[in-house]
Amino acid sequence: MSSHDQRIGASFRDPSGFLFSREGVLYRQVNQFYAEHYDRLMSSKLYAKLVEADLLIPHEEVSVEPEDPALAYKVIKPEPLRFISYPYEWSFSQLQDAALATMAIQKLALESGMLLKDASAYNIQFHHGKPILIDTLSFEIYREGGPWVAYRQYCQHFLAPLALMAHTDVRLSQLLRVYIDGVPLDLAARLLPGRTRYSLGLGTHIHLHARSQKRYADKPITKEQSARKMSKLQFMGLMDSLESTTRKLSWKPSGTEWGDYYTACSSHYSGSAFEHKKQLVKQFLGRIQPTTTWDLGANTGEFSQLAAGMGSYTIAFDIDPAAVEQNYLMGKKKKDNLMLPLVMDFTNPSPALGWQNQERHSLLERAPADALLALALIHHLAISNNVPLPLLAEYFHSLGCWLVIEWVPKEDSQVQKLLASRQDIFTGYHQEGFEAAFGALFEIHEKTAVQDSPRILYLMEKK
Amino acid sequence: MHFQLITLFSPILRPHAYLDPGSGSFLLQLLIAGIVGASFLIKVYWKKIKGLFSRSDSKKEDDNDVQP
Repeated sequence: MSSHDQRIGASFRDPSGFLFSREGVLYRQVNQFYAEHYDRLMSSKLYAKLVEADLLIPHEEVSVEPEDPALAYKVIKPEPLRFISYPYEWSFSQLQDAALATMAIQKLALESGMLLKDASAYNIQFHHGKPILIDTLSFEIYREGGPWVAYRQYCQHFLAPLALMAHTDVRLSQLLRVYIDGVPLDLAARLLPGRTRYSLGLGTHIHLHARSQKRYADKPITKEQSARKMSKLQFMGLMDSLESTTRKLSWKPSGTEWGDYYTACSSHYSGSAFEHKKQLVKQFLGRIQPTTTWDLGANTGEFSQLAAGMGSYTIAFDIDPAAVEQNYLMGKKKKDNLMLPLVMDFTNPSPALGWQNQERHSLLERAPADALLALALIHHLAISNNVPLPLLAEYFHSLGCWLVIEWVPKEDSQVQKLLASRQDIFTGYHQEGFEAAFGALFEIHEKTAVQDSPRILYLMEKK
Repeated sequence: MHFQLITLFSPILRPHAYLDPGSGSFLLQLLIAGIVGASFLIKVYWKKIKGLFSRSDSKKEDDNDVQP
């Protein structure tokens, strides 16, 4: 085994198999333990149906030496994903679509005599613009009478955060960052408005569920209780109830921090300045021809679309969940499969999380991108968050190979707004300081002033 | 042998269930399922009845529903 061969850190809970990488290729070992279920998935046509419906990641069986031969049944090679994102980086509709995809998979599985044995939001990824199950070993043969073992997980990973986002505050999706196995239901019940107790779905799946968990917390299930059966009809009724409760939740942004940034050509941008900026970004991207682009501070994705339109797989990050929501819904409508909008605060980007900090990767671990767009961003990081320019250059240097960055000088109306209520301690925030800081780590290829604006657009390449 | 019998007959102790369903979650879902099972049946048949009186293209939608 070379140093590049290893089991994947997040893949240890389920004894059915695990992921490993070898020479940069990702494989999944299917263990003997799971053989019967895997064979049913493949022979029952469920696999074919799910792949056809874009609900399960396609794979091929390969004759590669298993990572743990003593346990192995087969080795499969899943279709590679372009980027791994996490539920705490998704907007409301992204998490809801992931939940509904899980329910759609469960429905198809039941038709084939199988069911999902887990309902982790981390098993869903956005692939070609759609939520898709990436864990091929999530299925087991359905035996009538049994409950849904993943019921609690579905409620914690999907229903509770969605209900909190819809009924309390959309920012509560960030609880998923703290609780790796989903939002504890007692916490969700406390944070949800009292009226949700009277809604049939949330009243039972969240509030009553939390009370039942508390009541039976230290009590083992008795023989009589564990012998109780759930008929298939009852099972399907439960799934139907979970699905309709999930579907009924909705969230509409009621005014956003940045949502109207581009509308009506706000005071800091004239129409011609905006058009010129677009033209410059397009020209710079044309020179880079990036395979992947990260738009840092993308708002609703106006510039990300330029990159995606040129065939670059583009991640449109923004701090504002409303902007990300709008961007996602727009992409979904247009069937844009090259863009993934994500919620990200660059003053505190996603950290490494979970067991040994290896289950969920930090943003940095998911870098680098071929190209970074940092448009109208630098003043937010350097002035609102006091990050010195050399540290900013260092961070961008670790995130991507090429950089299209907009210099926003102090005289710009947006910087003046940021300085209006505070003392100007930013003596190093000037164009010479910017060029010195970034020039130390990047080669500056182009530098063009944006028409009718004090801003300057730079094209840089990592040294 | 005793353990094998439990795993065979107890719905909660299934050999491939690596998640802990939790006692409270297990009992609650049995309760909810008991209630929603009947209403689900009514919903499925209601859709079928509605399907009889609506346009033929709605048949496809009904066919996609999970059959009890």
